[in-house]
Amino acid sequence: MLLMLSGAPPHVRFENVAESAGLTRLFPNGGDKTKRFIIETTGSGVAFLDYDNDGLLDIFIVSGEGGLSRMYHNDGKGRFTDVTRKMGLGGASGWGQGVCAADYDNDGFTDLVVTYWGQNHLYRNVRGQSFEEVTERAGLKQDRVRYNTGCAFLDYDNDGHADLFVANYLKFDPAAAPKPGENPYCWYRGLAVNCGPRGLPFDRNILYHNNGDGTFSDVSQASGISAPDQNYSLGVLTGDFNNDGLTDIYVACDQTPSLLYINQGNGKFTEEALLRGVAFDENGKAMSGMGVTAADYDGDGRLDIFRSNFSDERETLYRNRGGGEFDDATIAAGISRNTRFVGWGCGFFDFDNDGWKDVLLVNGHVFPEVERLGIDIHYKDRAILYRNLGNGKFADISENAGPGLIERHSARGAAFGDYDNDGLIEVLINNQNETPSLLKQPARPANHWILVKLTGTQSNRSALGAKVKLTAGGRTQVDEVRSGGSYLSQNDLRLHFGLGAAQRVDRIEIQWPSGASQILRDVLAGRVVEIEEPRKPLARD
Amino acid sequence: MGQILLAEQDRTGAAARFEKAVSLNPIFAEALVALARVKSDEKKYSEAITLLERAVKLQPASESAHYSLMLAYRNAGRTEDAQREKAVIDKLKRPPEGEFTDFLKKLGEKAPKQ
Repeated sequence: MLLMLSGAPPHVRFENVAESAGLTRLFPNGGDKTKRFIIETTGSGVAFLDYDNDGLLDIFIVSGEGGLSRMYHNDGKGRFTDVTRKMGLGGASGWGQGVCAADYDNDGFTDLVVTYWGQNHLYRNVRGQSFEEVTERAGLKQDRVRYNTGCAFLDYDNDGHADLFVANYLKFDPAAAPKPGENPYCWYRGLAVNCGPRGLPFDRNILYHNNGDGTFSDVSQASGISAPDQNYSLGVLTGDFNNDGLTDIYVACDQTPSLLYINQGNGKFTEEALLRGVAFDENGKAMSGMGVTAADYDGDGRLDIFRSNFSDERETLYRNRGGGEFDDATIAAGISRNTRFVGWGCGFFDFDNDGWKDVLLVNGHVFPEVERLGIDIHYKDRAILYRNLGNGKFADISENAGPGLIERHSARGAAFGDYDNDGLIEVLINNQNETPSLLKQPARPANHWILVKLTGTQSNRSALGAKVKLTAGGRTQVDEVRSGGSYLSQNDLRLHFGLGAAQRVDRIEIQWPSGASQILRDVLAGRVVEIEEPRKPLARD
Repeated sequence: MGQILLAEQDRTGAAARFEKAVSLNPIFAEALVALARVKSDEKKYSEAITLLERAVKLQPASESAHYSLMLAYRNAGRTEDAQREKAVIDKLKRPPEGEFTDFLKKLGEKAPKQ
């Protein structure tokens, strides 16, 4: 315990194993020396998902214009094979942006949404053997070109069917957009650069209700989701932030106030980010929010929020003070010093299994032209790893965490998951115009762990919104199952808990979206525990 | 100096600097806001509110002062006052009218109502 609180980093070494894992393809995303349009700056996401239910996480990587978004099958033993065409996913190209996954039709196989500037695509997973493009049939075809970005499935009305939220960045057409240097919004530190988002028109976010028959209905207006009309929306995070049993939606917004849609439980949401303290930084200033993640970093049983922002801004850590009201805890937590990075994908994850959620974010500037300035702000930059010290504070251990962390890329999406089921979380990163990174720790810390895989029966099959409260070694941790998150990406749908020295879990309590409650006791650690929702309500503890 | 100490997690030292600044210049709104934030962190919401109400009178267009006051009201349970401050912030943050008119014309759309 003394060692844990001392701030001294444990032996930690992340290596980029993408090449040896078979992730050798480059994913294009606009210019590398200069970018003429904003569409070249925002892509793209990545996903960890187990599409064939073999117990091993597969990989999906979204491409910008000029490439294919690709699915890689996890063959075990640390190798992945490109199965894009074999799985029927080779038909779409364009400016791919985000990805999110869940079993929207409750058939037991995880489906996929890929968002685009242009038309989104819903891929229905056909028994893990192939994917079927069902966008139009499902009612998700859009009537105009939209700049869709982050997405997440969620069951906002707890009817047992996964609904879909899609963030929209702005209105954009390369034929109509101003060129670099054309107006005051097209300059950065004296350089003519691509224009926006300021100066480009806002668009509105979208909520699709799952009708339970394979189709969706656009309920954006009726639900209140489309009401905010002055925000540039990017990363999407779902969670029950006010602990009322209903899933809320947080959206990281670029140069405008971020959004917190509070679920009212009657099919409607109200946007309450400002009063709840998660719209701005502590000075009341809108940040350039990109990615977003949630966890209970301080062990008080409430979901806190971390958001990555632009250079010359701090990242933002919002501490949940209860009831879904937040304080800006960035300075108090000791994470306010890294202001030269443009942050994107981010995630709370317990890399050393000590029972406290750490934070990793990946970086890279939007303007390649920034390299001409000769300053300490870069188009390609390293990642940042904050170790949670267990006392409400973090230590920046980025430069002592192995070669994978200090590689320089213009990174965007990042997904977190345990692809080899060894109890350590790996990080998959989409690097613009490069091969992806796959960060892995070759050496295992002594601490113990457990992975919890939930399957809904009355609730939606992916168990989106299910809450887990786990007690081991005298500590209680909480988390929720969620789709989407980070920056335009999809994490492992299973929940990972570091257990420190505890070899057994004393108690796992699950609150299912259906209202059912379930308790398991004395569970052996060091494995994936699969829990199915009881088909009939069980008596409470 | 107070801001540096705050970044160094020295809240007591920072508060002393902000108090000194306010005593030397009672109409230094930024110092009032900074001191109020320290008070809020210490859960001394009524003291924070007193300081922030002074700050917004001195700088009625300060988004930072109104934002801090809104949160201090919220934390003190003064919901109606917090809502009133929120309305002020909403007004201060409103983008200029017609900001996108030219671009929307190029896209073939009408400018949205502001």
